[in-house]
Amino acid sequence: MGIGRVAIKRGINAIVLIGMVTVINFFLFRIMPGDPTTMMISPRMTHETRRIILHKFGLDQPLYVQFVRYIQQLLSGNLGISFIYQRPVLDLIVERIPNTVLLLLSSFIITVILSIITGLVAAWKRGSKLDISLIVFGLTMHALPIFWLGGLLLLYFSVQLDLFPVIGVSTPWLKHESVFSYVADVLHHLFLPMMTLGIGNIGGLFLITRNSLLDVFAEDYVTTARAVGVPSRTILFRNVLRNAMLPLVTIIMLRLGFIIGGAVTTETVFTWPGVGLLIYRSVMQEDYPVLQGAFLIITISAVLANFMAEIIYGYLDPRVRYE
Amino acid sequence: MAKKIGIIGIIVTIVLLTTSSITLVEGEQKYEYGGTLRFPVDQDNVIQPLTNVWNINLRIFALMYDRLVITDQYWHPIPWLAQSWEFSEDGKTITFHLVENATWHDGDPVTAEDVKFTYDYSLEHQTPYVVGPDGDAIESIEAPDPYTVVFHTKRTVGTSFIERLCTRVNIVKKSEWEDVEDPFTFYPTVGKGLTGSGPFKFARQESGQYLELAANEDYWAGRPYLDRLFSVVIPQHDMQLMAFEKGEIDIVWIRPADVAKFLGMEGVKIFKTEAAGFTEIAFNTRRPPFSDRQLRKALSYCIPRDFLIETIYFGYAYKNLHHLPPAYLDWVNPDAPVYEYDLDKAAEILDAAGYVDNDGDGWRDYPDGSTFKPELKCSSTDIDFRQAEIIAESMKEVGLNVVLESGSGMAFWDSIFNEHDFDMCRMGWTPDTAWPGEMLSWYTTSMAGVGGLNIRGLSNATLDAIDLEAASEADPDRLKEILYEMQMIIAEECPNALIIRPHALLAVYSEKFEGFENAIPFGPLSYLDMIGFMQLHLKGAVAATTTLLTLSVPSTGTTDEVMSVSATLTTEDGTPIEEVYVDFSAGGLIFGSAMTDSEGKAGIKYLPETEGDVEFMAEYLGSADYAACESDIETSSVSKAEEPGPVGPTPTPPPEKPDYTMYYVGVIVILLIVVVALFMRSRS
Repeated sequence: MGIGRVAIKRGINAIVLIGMVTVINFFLFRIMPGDPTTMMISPRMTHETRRIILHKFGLDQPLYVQFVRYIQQLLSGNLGISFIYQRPVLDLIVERIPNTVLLLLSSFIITVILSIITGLVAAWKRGSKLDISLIVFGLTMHALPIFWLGGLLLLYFSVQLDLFPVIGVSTPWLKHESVFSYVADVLHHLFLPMMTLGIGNIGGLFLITRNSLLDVFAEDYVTTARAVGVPSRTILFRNVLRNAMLPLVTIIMLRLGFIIGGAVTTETVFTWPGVGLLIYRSVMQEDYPVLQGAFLIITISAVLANFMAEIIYGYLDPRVRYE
Repeated sequence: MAKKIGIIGIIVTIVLLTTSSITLVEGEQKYEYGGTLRFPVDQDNVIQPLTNVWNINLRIFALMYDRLVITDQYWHPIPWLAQSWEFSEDGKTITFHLVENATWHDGDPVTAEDVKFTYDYSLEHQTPYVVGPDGDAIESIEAPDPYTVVFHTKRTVGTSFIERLCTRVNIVKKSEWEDVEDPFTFYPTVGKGLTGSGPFKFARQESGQYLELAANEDYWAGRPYLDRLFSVVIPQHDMQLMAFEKGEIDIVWIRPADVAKFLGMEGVKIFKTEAAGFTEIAFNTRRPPFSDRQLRKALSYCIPRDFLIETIYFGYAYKNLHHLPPAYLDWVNPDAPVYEYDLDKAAEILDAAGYVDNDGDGWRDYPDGSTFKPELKCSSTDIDFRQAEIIAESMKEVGLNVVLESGSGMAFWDSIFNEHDFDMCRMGWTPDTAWPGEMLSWYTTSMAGVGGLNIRGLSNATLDAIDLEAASEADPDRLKEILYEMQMIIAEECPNALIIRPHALLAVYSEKFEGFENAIPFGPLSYLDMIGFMQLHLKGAVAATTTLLTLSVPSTGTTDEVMSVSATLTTEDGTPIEEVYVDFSAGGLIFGSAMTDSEGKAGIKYLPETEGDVEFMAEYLGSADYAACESDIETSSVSKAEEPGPVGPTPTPPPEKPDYTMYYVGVIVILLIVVVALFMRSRS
């Protein structure tokens, strides 16, 4: 079976999956109690005005009619209009994707680099005090709620030491002389949330790196290499690390899929105007067109990343055969 | 907006009965131009000047768009885009004369056609600003020449037309709006809806980050002093406080519990103004037994207001006993019945009405003997919930088995406003116009429908009839009579138990900006104070003459008795300084300001709420001609009023500020345990 046919098959699966999520997504928000229009309709309005507005948003139609309209709009790329912001949902989300990707991608790179280095050190010095300390550190980070870690960092570095700003992605009232000063301003704002997410997410990836390295260390070919006198550094980088990377790649690919979804808690703590903060506000105000749209986009990117991971995996690991 | 009619504050200290006079900029520059003021909002501003009614957006509309009439700090109408108007003999034709030098932000003149279009278009689409008796009264609008607009009405209209309708409708540009099909789903953009004629113009908006407004340098009434305004989106209140502390924003609204934290902060001043908003327990008069007026009265006697103010608001609230807040000055009927906290009286009424304990379980039952278990709904917001909790406890003391139910979000508001599914409900309201009859019309049958403001469902034919009469009354004396009668009827009907009026508390960096005193008593940046906004300016205007401020306060006072405080402002050689504002503070909190008279004397009244020493101070913030100065601190000792103080339910201790050291210690201990455990494991 060729990889092309596999790709088609998986692609169809992915589309079916997205379709299912869309359906669940639609009904999930309709099950929620309460009349969504309470938020957008002024108590001053007459009954007639209310009826007209409900009609404009199609909310006076039976559920199945609303569903058909929703699907029709989706197919033409229209995610609906936000009740609160009164703007197209797609615009709202797309505007915030650059901020979210900047934060999540940079913090993700930090997580990957740090967890591979620490995982390597821990596995190499297995059983030493350093290893145990690293495990404790990794477990603690894994267990710590990220918003709590973020809050602490914010209180200490921003408020106490006054090193970083507390809100936003840049300083809008500053007039920047050059691109560099703008970039510096953004980096200044980015640093704390990036470190919070970067360090806060280290736990899981570190433990996986360490364990998969240890598994490979126990393989016969490593023992053989040692026996024939290959230098340990060569074994580590040439034989062990390369093979231990496989599970890591899977996890990295899967996590990449969620980058667009943002980090709700971190973005809220640092008032970082990304998709996560939008989701938080929309939950608070029950602005369900936005939630529906955001969930759909997150689903699509996660499914796509999954699909890519499967395809790439075939190339990386010769043991994987598509049959 | 149900939810947004929260307790965002405005308004008048009881005090300032003197007529107001506002010095507008009008060509004469008193201070240097410049400065950027940053204030927080909890979400993006939505600039839909015809349809959006949220408080945070009204504030922006007032700055970007003009209205025919605006109101000053004391809620008096000021001619604005309409420089004058006259009513015809029969009261059915109103002619507005527009100012002739007003221009849109793009340079085109503002004409009568724009005004006519705005009103016609709003009426056609029934936007929230024109819905109601005033808008309904409009028959046709004419624009005979570019600076005259004539409204023809179906019936006689009165002051409510000017003060309620004309102070609310934002005038938009005809050429940008005439082809907009639906204002409810239309989102204005630059050159298409965002062009206003107000003192500030739209500069840019970044979703989720900020809205920037720039000074309109060609504003017809004179440009504002500030250059730029930033409405910074910070969803969480805690983060707003943090950003303020760090100086990333210049002003912030604070909660009573935060006052202590900011009182001592350098360069920071706290302004305390009495909000017009109030809280209530609404009774659902649609369903028995709350259709029984005697039961509603009994419950109204169960509100421990003093106790609530002390424990939940830390003293930053006033008792609310009248259906019109004192902010409306002489419109308030002093003879309307009030329901002071009195559990004995409540018990008496309940006994007489037959609500007695029949089955011996300790709780009162229905007169027919069946179990009575009224439900009290409230929003789950911390301060709301605790308020309702204490009131429920108090009702339990008279033997009513009250069940507290809290909720939030759509489902909650839906059950209150649309389904009317509640026995009692704790609500908060803020009026959005200056017309004194507005708050009373919230009790009429026309407001009792699905989604209406009269959630209590009160329906009183006399009240409905005289409400309509009020809307068409032009004579202030007759209007006062009508409103007095309305207050009488409402208080007798007792559709709700009034609770308190919270203060609006605002912390500002007064080291950086001046001019906030012009916005008191409204509270700067509350949505009606465009005038106050135009007066804000950077600190540091050059002053010519040194000034002296002498404060005089009574040396003793009692609680519940108003004290007269006055200050005299003179130059060093004793010449009085007239018609400037002096701020008064008690215990470091500014509670109001008053204008000096021809002798340089400014007087204000102060109501001490707690016993003990009060340190008063007066302050003059300075102008181009006179330097700022502070008076010496004068102390007066306040003793408890004679009358027996009301006794509240068992006091709950006030919440303590979280002490983070315990968190740190906790984490370190847990970490140590984990480390030790792991070491033990690795050894074994």
